[in-house]
Amino acid sequence: MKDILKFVNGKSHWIMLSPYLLLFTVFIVLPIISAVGLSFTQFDTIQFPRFVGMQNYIRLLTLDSVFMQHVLPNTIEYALIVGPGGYILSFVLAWILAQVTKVNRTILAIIIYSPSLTAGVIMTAVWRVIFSGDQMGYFNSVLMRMNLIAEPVQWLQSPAHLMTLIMIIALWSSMGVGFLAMLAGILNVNEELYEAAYIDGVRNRFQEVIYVTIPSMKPQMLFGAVMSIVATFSTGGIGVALSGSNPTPLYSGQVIVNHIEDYGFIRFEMGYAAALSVVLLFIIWGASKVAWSLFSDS
Amino acid sequence: MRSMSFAIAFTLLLTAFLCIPVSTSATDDIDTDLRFIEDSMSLINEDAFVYEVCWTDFISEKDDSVSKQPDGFYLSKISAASFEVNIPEDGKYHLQIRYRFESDWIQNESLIIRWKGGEFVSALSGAWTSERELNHVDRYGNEITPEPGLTDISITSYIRDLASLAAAPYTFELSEGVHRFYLFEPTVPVAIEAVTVLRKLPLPSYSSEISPPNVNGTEPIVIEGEDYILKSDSHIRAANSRSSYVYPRRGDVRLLNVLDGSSWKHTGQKVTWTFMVDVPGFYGLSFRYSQDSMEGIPVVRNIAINGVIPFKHFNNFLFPYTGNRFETLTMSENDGRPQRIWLDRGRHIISMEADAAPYSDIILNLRKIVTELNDIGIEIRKVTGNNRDFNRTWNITRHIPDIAERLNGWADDIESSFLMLHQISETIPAIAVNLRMASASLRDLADNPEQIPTSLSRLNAGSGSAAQMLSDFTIRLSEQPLSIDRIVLFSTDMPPVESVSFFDKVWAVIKSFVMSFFGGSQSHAVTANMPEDELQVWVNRPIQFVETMQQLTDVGFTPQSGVKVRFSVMPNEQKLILSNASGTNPDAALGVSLHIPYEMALRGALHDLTQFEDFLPTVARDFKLESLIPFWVDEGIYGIAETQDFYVLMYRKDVLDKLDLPIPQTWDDVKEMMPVLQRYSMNFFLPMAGWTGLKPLHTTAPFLFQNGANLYAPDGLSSDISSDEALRGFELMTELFTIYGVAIDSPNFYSNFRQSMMPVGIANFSTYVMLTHAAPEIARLWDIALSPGIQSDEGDIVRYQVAADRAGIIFSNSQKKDEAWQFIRWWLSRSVQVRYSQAMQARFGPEYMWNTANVAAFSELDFPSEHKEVILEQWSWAREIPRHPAGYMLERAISNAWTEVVLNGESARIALDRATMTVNREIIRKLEEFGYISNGRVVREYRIPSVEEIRKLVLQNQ
Repeated sequence: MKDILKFVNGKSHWIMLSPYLLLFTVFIVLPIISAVGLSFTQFDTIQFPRFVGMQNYIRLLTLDSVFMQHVLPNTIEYALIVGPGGYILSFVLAWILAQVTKVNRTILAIIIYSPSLTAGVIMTAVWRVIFSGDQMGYFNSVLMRMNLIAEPVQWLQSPAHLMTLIMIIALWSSMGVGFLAMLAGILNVNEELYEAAYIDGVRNRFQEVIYVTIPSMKPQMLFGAVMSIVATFSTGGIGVALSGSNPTPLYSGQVIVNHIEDYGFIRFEMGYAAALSVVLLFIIWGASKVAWSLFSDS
Repeated sequence: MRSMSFAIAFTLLLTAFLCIPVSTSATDDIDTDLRFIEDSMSLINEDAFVYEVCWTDFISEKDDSVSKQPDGFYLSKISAASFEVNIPEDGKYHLQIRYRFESDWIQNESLIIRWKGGEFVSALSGAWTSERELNHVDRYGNEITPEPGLTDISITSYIRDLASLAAAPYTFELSEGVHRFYLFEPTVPVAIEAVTVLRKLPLPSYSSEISPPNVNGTEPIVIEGEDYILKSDSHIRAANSRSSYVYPRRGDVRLLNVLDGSSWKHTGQKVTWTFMVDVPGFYGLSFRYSQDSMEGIPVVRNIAINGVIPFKHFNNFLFPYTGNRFETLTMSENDGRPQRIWLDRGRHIISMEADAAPYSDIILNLRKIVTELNDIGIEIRKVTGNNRDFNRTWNITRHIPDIAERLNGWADDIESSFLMLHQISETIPAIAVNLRMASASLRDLADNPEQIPTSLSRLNAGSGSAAQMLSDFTIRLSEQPLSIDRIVLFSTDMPPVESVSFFDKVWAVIKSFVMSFFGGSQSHAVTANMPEDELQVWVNRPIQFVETMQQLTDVGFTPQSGVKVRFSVMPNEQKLILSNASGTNPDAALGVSLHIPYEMALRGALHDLTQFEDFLPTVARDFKLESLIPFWVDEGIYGIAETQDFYVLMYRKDVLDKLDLPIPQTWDDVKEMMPVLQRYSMNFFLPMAGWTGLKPLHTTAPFLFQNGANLYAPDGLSSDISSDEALRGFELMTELFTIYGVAIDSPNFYSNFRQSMMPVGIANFSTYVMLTHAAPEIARLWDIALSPGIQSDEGDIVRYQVAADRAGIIFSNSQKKDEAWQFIRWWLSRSVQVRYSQAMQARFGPEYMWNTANVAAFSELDFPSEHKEVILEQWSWAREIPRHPAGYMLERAISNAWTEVVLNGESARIALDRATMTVNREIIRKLEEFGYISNGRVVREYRIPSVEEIRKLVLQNQ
């Protein structure tokens, strides 16, 4: 009896933790381990995986010209613009929203937040119609009416336009959970801090934001940053949905997630796709590290 | 006068011996009902009767030998008959014809009638019933659409103009004396038994004096809509409604509990029920029905009791809009008292016929306006040309001075049509809002005529234009869908009321939600739990297709072979690969996309079909050998074509005529017609314009094939797309866009074709089906022809197109390979494919066309014969794409090269060379992966298949 009590008292945290641990192991740890394991094999989803050592990684660095010429530059361009861009946009919009009254704020927050919820569905339905490449496309039609263009522009097919379009749409839909967290963070900043700051010599709203608001909401800023990094690297559906195919024309809208799908489900090279996912994992992990060092308290 | 009536009586007596069909002995209930219906149809209203011509008095106009049979005048496609009728006085007459179909398959049949006063196509109404005994319930307990059965009864029906929107008999205005009528060109062979001439009589009006209320409290007679005895079209069908307003209803399994309105909507479609009356008396009629498609506009049915429309009110009876609900409507007088009819004791029939007669004037008027709008649209385009400058102002009244009056005139006509609808429906016809929008557009344009040339999108071009809105609306209005749950005959004062309480509804919803996880709701689901004694077949097709397959197999295959087959609907083809990885794959799969067999076979997951001795002979007999090329891996063939696509030229006859353009035979012809099309803001459609991003190989490769190029070198070690022939093809494929201005992006050829913005283009089977069945406004205005090609040196035109569509495969880890092959061989045999195609069309309607790859079966299918000829000839120009481990790279390299040339302005040679390099590198890498190349040396030979090689295999096998 005493032993049981001792066990319960001493080890009960494991019991409490077990549901989380179980789910975390099954759905996060095991897939990562198996992905890392598969990345050292050649696996075509049907036959048994064959161990090939580092060959997949060597090939990735030395032979995969599409990855080096298109996918990596696209991913970086996309991540740099949509990541920080969306992040800053989230903060600015959250700050602006924090200035208005409660009812208006709630309504506007829902409006701004909704694209990130519906993005996947809306994308094909709305954006493809808007940017359709015949003169029926709304955007083409408006431009032709305004006499800015004479012939319809192939927004969705032309390699010159596709990436720009992808980034605009990604920015449009980037006000996600991070945005809500920041809005909450801004609203939670202690008003007395602002008053104290003004006594200490803060003269305008900009200084107020820099010296008071941001330092007071570091946890939310960190959360927003991590969410935004993960989201930018791991979403790749926009280009494929817009152009209607994977790969996108001339790989112009190809980001790393599309590349993984290309190898995994079109070329049936799961081992190589796994190696790519491992690389993606490290990129995200590294970027999160940067975010941590910028915003963490310690 | 006296002598005439004597003559009539005499004729009646005479014909009674010759022309009244002999009733066969009734064996079961349905048969009794059918004989009863047959007899009551041939009853003649003595007041109207004028004259009957028996088939023995028919004269054969063409071939005498085959025409007369013991019990009717046999009329086939090539024969013709004539007969004389003696008309006693000038007046209006109807003709009634009694006939039997001499064919085991009918679908919307007709024949032509000609007399001194004119000629028209008359509908030959069919007589179908349901094979109820046969597999009415599937293995999950769900009721499935029963197989329609063609009855052998003699059908008596009025001669009716097929083109008319009204179901009423044609009215012949005949003068006194002898008239000769000719009958010819029936669409299927028919045996004509008699023709009766009837005087046109007005229908009596209902008056309450003739039916005193008799309250004797007998139970109402309930007829379930789904329990019809006879229907004029095979695909009028019962369906399941999950609504809680419907009888009968069950949550756990799917019952067929209503007659489906979406299958019963065209003028002349008729359904007949029978019922027994125990207590003779006056009965009122009420209907439990749903009409959910025409908001604010009632649909029309003609209701006949015992073959006769008893009162005026029963003709063109209106069923108002109900939304999704099922509601009860009682036939009643203005004061609300039910109208009653006298019914004797015994068996009776009631029939309902769809009719668009009340709307026919409106529809004809609107159609005329649409034609005129399109004409004026072309007139304006002739003035302005292909000018897209929105800032230019046109003085259009100088070219067409009366344009404003014409526009206003049309707007007036449209508004008066709207008012007419309003009068008929007595509510706001909400669905007719299109009419108001169209007339507003026209008035707006009439006020600012100088804007018309830049606002053609409001007049006749595009989906929001007045012309398109009107034609969409006329199509809607000509359809009369009505779902019937039950028909109730009651002798009480008021109809019995069934009300559904709110809690009943909620409870029904909860119950059906819970039940959706069990039993019948999980029918045909893919499952890992596979009984040993069943052959598992996954099918990548919708449930209707699979249900019918299951039924045909259970009846036609299992009894003779002893092999039980279980079909599952495959939700996603990726599942085939994943299930194979986990060993839970089926024995065989059908309806599989074309790329799957090769990819799986290459990795050893599929069984080589040439192992079966009779595989090659079977294919060689009924299929195109070319269709096997995509399944070829290392001398083995790992799949068989199940369906076959076709890419043919579709063109609008009316537009090409108006523009004086010939049907293009070669690509040079297409190039020549492009400037003319563009002058009228029209364009040509190429399949690759339907794909935004990657242009699939089957849209690009035909250009190379037509120019004599190959995709790969024969040894498969490199691509062959940098050859001169390939370059010629590639240049053609790009310059059509860059120089001749073929549309680069056109997501919807079907609607552009309807609106004549793309009056000509190359499209495939699915577009063909849509145009045939979902574009009634251009019916007969379009046609198909062979795909344009390249004039070869020998003088003929090379018209290669791809044809492969879906495939059947057998898995290598299956324990029942022989049974699986036995099944597939049975399934793809000629007779089964024909039977399946007919079963699908009979059950679900003519739009369920089946493009079987069995060419012998296809030539027997129900396609228009001219079209069938074109398709079969195009199939002789079928050229399939050989698969390759690096095939995906070839596909995207060609597509990328196209993008570089067409959108980035690169030169064709450079783009193609770059593509070749990319492909060749991937080919080597992939061949290494699959062990054909090791350390830069070929260790196993790879061969690109050719049809000659397959033919050789076939010969070896014989």
